[in-house]
Amino acid sequence: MTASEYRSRFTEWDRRSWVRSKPHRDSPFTAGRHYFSADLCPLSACPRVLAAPAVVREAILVHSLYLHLEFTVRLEMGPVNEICALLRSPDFLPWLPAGMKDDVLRIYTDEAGHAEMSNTLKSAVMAETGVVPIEHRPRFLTELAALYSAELPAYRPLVKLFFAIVSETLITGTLTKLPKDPSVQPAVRELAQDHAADEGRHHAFFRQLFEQLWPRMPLPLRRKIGALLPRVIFAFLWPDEPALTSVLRSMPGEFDDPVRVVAEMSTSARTREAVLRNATPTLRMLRDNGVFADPPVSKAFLDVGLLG
Amino acid sequence: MIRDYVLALLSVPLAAESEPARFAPGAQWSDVLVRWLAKARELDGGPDFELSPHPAGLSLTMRHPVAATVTFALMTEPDVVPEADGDLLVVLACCPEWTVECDGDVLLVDPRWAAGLLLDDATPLFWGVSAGERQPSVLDAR
Repeated sequence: MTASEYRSRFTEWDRRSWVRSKPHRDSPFTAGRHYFSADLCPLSACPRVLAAPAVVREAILVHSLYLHLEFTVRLEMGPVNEICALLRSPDFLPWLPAGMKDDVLRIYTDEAGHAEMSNTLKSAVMAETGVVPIEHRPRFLTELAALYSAELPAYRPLVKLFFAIVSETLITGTLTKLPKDPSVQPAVRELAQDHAADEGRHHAFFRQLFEQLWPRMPLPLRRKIGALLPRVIFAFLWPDEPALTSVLRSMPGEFDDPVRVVAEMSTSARTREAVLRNATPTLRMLRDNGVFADPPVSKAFLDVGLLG
Repeated sequence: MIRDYVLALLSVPLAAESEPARFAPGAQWSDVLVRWLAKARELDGGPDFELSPHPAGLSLTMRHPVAATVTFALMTEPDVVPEADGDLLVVLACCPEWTVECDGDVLLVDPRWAAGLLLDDATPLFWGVSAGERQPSVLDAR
């Protein structure tokens, strides 16, 4: 890719990025509004949760917001910004256009901002509701760490790069639907809207990065990485079962068998449909770039139901 | 493991389709490989190996991080993978039509890959980055 072929989406970054041009969203919390969208909470459709008192269902939505915000903080400050720093290094993929190397610092800055805005909102909701977050390590980090540590050290920068490419090209319902749900607190919706606007630019960057990198990789390397991608997609999109179980355990008077409730959620068609829906942009990018034309790679996706 | 290791060691950005590998007469391709492997060892002190001539081209005896013998050979006839003893055979194909499916103990370096590898200014796709980047990761084993 030459400098002229790279289409930067950051030419108006100073004017459009949240961290550069927009305020903290401090709309007051409103009585009667939810802290998270029930449609986006995987537990909300479980019969035992539906049968619980309204105050319990609302507490579950607050916890769902906490889990989403903590996911954001740990993702942005962890694998995504680690790889942004690496991409900025002149020694890593030195053939990338200088404009991409410049833009990746803007992404790094945006991501740090998203972590900060998420952390600030979490603190504000804790102060307002008194609901104490559960202590947990987000499931996606455990899953990615298992994939990462299973590889020879030489591969780890590349594997981490594909974690970032996948995470930045997924478009989840929390970014697209949360801002539009009128039942949700304005402060939560505004944060999701600000975050989504930035992530649209990041998506375009990482898609271009993928389109340059993938065709340049030797076939056996494409197969090796391609076989990992389904697990990476599930790591990001599958509900955080251990954390959700802990949420239900924190309400012992309401749920006598949290593991069973979460297991029912995991096996539901709704959960799998949500994963497939959220994976669609990434799967489209992979298809558009011929990833599924290689039978061993397409089989890896077929085996886990990511290809129909 | 040795296949994965050598794949990492030899990964380069593929050359353009219009630039297939040009193999000069004699053993020049193996000289380039010797230089490449020596450079790789400079970038990452992890591998401990010796190189020696081999009837098929070049032999690499690795002691660390895995004990293995790797033979590098040139594919000189269509559909014919050279035979060699050892744990892994790396076959460089110079003609675009000469591509064959290889099993686990053969690594086929197809023409665009070979072309990228044999360029004078070739640089690894990612080899050496781990050694150069000492920053801890949240993904490190805990």
